[in-house]
Amino acid sequence: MKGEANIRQTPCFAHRGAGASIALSLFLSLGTILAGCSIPSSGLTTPTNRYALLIGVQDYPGTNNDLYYPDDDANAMNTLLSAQGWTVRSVLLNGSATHDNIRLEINALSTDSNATILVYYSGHGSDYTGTPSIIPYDGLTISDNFDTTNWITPATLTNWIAAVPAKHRLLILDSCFSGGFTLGNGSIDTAQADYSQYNYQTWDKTLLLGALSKFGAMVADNLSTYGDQEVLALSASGSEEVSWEDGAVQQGVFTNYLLEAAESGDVDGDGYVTVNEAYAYTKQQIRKNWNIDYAYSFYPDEWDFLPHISGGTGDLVLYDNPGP
Amino acid sequence: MANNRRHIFVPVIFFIVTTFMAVLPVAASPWRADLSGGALYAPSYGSDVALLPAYGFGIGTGVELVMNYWIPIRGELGVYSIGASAWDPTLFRYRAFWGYRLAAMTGLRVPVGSGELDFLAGGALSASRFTGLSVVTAYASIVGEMRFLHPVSFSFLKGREANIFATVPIEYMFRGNARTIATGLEIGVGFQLSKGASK
Repeated sequence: MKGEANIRQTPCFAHRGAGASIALSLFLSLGTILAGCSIPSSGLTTPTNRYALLIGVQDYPGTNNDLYYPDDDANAMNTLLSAQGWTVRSVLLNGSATHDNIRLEINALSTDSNATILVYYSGHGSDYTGTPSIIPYDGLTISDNFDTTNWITPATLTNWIAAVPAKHRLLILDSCFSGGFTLGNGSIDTAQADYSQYNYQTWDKTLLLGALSKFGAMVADNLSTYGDQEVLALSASGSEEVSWEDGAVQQGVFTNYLLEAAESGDVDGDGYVTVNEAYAYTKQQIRKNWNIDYAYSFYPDEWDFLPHISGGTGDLVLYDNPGP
Repeated sequence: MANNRRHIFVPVIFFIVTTFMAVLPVAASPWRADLSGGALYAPSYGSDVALLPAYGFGIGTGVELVMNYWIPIRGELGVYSIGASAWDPTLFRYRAFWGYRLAAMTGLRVPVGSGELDFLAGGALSASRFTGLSVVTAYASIVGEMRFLHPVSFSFLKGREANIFATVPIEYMFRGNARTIATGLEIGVGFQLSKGASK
């Protein structure tokens, strides 16, 4: 599910070893510099065929599972994306965001095989069934019980999105356990599925070594998936952790920084904020401003979470009119 | 009928090549090692994405067995970094990535004056990470190299043969929804691992 809390104001402590990181950064930055120096990033025009579906569910049937800000999240995304040149096809809020309506609206997003489509969701997510899922309006009953038949799993949502005629597909989820939607594409995420269970590393050597055991599977995937419809997914949290709302900003914590990224997330200064950059910005800000604790380095707690991003070779511009 | 002829053609070529190798006088068969590095041009494309340029660099080390006009086996271990690609009109680009590559190649040596020209081909496996992300992947590629070696002498090698070389590598990477072609120019230095003449 998704929780609400007021932001904590405790200072944050630096905690990551610097030596190896500096050497690695220098090495990696050379490649980036080579690319940055050589490839012009201006002069492109904003495409007119970028279509978005925005979903926010806070007022569920019954009274015990309501959230506070998902419709604010969806409305704020509507305002921002519209200003950024996206065409918002539909905003499904609360009672209109049923399982079937979501499927129908995704299906109606585009008929243009050159389009870019975006599906954004803010609301409850759960791993109660053993599979991380998002919970549409009719995924809960008036008596506050689960109706899991209407929950939407990663496989289902990805299939719906992949079936839409489009060239590029983007999925953004601000919900608990949403990291379950960022897996696959011939790659493995080495960030912990539950950040609070570990020692504040944003990636894990054990998971990295585990990935080596799947080396052959990844090679096989990458040999065979050419031409498949890929969905670039960005999630608020890992597949085993909750995400939160923030009473101080009256939005989802993740969505608040996702919106902020339009003005502050252009890391490489090329005038575009890509999904990669939005991921990096939200992760940095949540880590700095939310995942803070009096004994930060020693006592991770259940409030802590970090965004995740899917594999795949591509990146997309999310915002192309960054603020000053 | 035409297909049958093609099937016969392959073993005939193989027979000619192996016979040629068998009759060559076998001189010393030294192992050579080398270090190299250089810049790469590494554009990628997809099934519905046009070729998008990207640049990067790589460094690596190699060990190879030298037999007359042949290099029966060459192993290479390298590390590379490729920047994000250029944008396409839909505001899409390929992510930056870096990783480690293990390659195995075989090829031909052609004496050119006091130097030699090598043509190598083989396959490689890479463990890669998208730059700035915690997402890792692994992929296979086809690799090739055209290399010119020029002999040099270093006193500290105490009689071992050494060389400097320039390589034009080419690699075709099978990266899921992307195909990446990397080429460029690398320079390096190599030396014999044991004393002896390489012809």
